Amino acid sequence: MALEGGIADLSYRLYKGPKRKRPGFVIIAERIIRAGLKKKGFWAFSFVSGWFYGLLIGLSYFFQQTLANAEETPGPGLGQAASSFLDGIIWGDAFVSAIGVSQTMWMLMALLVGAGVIAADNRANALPIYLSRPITKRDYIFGKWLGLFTLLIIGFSVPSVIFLLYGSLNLGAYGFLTDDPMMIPKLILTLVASAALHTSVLVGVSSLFKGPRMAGGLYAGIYFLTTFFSGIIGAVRISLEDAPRGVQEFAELASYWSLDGLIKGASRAIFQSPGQALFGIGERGRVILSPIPPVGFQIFLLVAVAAIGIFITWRRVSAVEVVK
Amino acid sequence: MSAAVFEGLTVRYGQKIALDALTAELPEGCVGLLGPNGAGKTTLLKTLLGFLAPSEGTARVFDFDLRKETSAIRNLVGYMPEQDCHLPGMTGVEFVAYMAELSGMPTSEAIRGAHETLQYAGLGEARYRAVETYSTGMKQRVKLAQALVHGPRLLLLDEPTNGLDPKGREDMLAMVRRIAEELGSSVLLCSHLLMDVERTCDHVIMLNRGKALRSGRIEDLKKFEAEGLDIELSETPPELFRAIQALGLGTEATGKGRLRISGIGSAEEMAAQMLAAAAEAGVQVRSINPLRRTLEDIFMEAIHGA
Repeated sequence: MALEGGIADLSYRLYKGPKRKRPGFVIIAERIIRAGLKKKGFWAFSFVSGWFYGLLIGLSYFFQQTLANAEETPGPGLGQAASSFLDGIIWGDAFVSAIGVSQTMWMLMALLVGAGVIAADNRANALPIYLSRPITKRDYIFGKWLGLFTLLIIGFSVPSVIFLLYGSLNLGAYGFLTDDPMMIPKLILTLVASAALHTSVLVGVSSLFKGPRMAGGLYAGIYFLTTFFSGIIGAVRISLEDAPRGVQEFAELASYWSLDGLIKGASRAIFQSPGQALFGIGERGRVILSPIPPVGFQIFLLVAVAAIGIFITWRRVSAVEVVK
Repeated sequence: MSAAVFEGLTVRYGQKIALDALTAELPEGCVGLLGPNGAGKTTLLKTLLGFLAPSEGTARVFDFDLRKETSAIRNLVGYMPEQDCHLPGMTGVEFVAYMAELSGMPTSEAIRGAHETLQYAGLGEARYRAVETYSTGMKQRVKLAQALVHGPRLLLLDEPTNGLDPKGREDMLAMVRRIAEELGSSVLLCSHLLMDVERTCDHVIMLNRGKALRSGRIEDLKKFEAEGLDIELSETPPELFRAIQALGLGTEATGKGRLRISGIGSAEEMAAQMLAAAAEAGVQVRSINPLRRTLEDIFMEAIHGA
C-alpha cells in the first residue's frame, strides 16, 4: 500500500504523536449530544412541550393589547378583565403548571434520544471496543449519562428560556421575576432534577436490552403505568375527605409515585407552589391538585429512583458477557 | 523484549476454568494463537485487555502489570474483536475517528488518522459510507482500521478472516503480515484456522483447555528432532533396504514406493547417500523432500498428546 514519490512520502505510518488528557467521558458525551441535536424530532418535542408557555404568552399579549386599547377608551369591561388576569398571574404557579403539562413530551423526547444510548451499543457488540480503549467503565457510563443529561437539559429548557426572555422584556410590570427573585435558580434546579431523573432511569433501562425499541417500550411502559396508578391514587385521594389523616397523607404522597409525579412533586416542592388548574381556574381548581409534598422526602425519592437506574447500569455494563 | 509474558495465569468464569495456570511468552512480531473452540483464546485476549481479572498468576504486557496498569496497557494495544462491532449511524471515517479520540488522539489528528488508516485498510471512498451498509469484508477492514488507528504496539486480532471469501481472506492475511513487517507493530492473531496462522505468523502458541500445549517459532516446531527425508522411488527392492541400513540410516515405508529416511547427518548428506544407494540397486528416484511437519501435524500431536 505504500506509495513512493519524489514529492512526498505518502506511506502509512503508525501514529506516534501526542495523546490528550481529555477525559473519555467528555468524548462519549459529545458524540451523544451531537447525534441528538441533529434529530428533528428532538426539537419538535422540545417546542411542543412549551405549549403552555405559548398560550400564556398569547394570552398575556392579548390582554396587554386589550389593556392598552382600554386606556385609550376608559371604562369598565374588557380592560378590567385584562388587568385582573395580568395582575392575578402567580409566576411560580405558571412555571409549575408548564412543567407539569410538559411531562409526556419530555418523556417522548427522552425516548427519542435516549432509548438506544446503551442498548444500541449492546446490539452492535460495541462495548468491547469502547472498553479496549484507555477508558474505564465509569468513563463509559458517566459519558453516556452526561451526554443524555445535557441533551435533555437543552430540550427541556428551550421553552422556559424563551418564556423567560419574553417575560423579562414584556411582563416586568406584572411582577415577573420581581415577585420571586429566586425564580430562575428554582427553575434551573427543577429542570436539572427532571433531566437527571429521566437520564438515570433511561440509561438503566437502556442497559438492560440489546436494542433501542425494547428499551423504549419498557421505559414508556414504566412511565404510563406508574402515571396511571398514581393518577388513580390522586383521584381516590379527593374522595378521602372523611378518612383518617394518616390515610389521606399516604394517598397524597403516593399520588406522586410515578416518573411524571416525581417531577411534578419536585417542581411543586422547589417552587413551593401547587401549580394551578389550567389557566388559573382559581382556588376551586386547586382542590384537584395534590398538596405540595415535603421537599426533603420528594428529593429523596427522586434521588433514590435515579440511583436505582445508575445501579442497574453499573451492574449491566460489562465488556464480557459471562454465561453461567 | 517480549510483547507479553504470562506466568501461571488462571482465569475463571465462575466454577469453570478458562485459563489454567497458563505460562507462555509472547515474542514481538506476528504470533498465532491456535486452539480448538473453547480452548481459551478469546479469554486470553480479554484478559490482556483487562476485561477479565485473573484469579491467580501474573501477566505483563510491554512490562506493564496486567492487574495494576490496565489503562497503560490499553494505550499500547489495539483490539479487533471477532464479532461485528460497528456503531450504527456512523460512517467509516466517523467511527474510526471516534475510536481514535477515545484512544487519546487529539480531534484533528484522529480525523486525519482515520482517513489514512481506512485508506491503508483498503476502504478508499467507501470510508464515507455508513458502516452498516458495508459488506462482511469491508466490516472486517473497518474493524482492523479502528484497532490500528491510534498506533498500537500490539494488535490483538480475534478471528480476522471470519466470514471472508478466499480473496478477502488472502487480502486480510497479507495486510496482517504487512502490519507486522512494515509498521513494526506486534500482532497476536487468534484463530482456529491453521492455514491462516501458518501463512502469516512466525511464532505460535497452541492452547487447549486453557493450557499452553506448545509454543515457539513455527519453523523450529516443524522440524523433527532428527533430520530426515521423504523419498519416492520406482520400486523398493530388499537390497535397497539393506544398502540403506548399511549406511546407518533408519527407514520406514510410508506407502507404495515411498520411504522415510532418518539419520544423524544433514539432509544434504543423507540425500547424496540415498542417491548413491539407489543407483547401486538400480532403482529410479522420483523425488526427495526434506522431512517437515505441517502445523496441522504439530497441532494434532499437541492435542492428542495432551
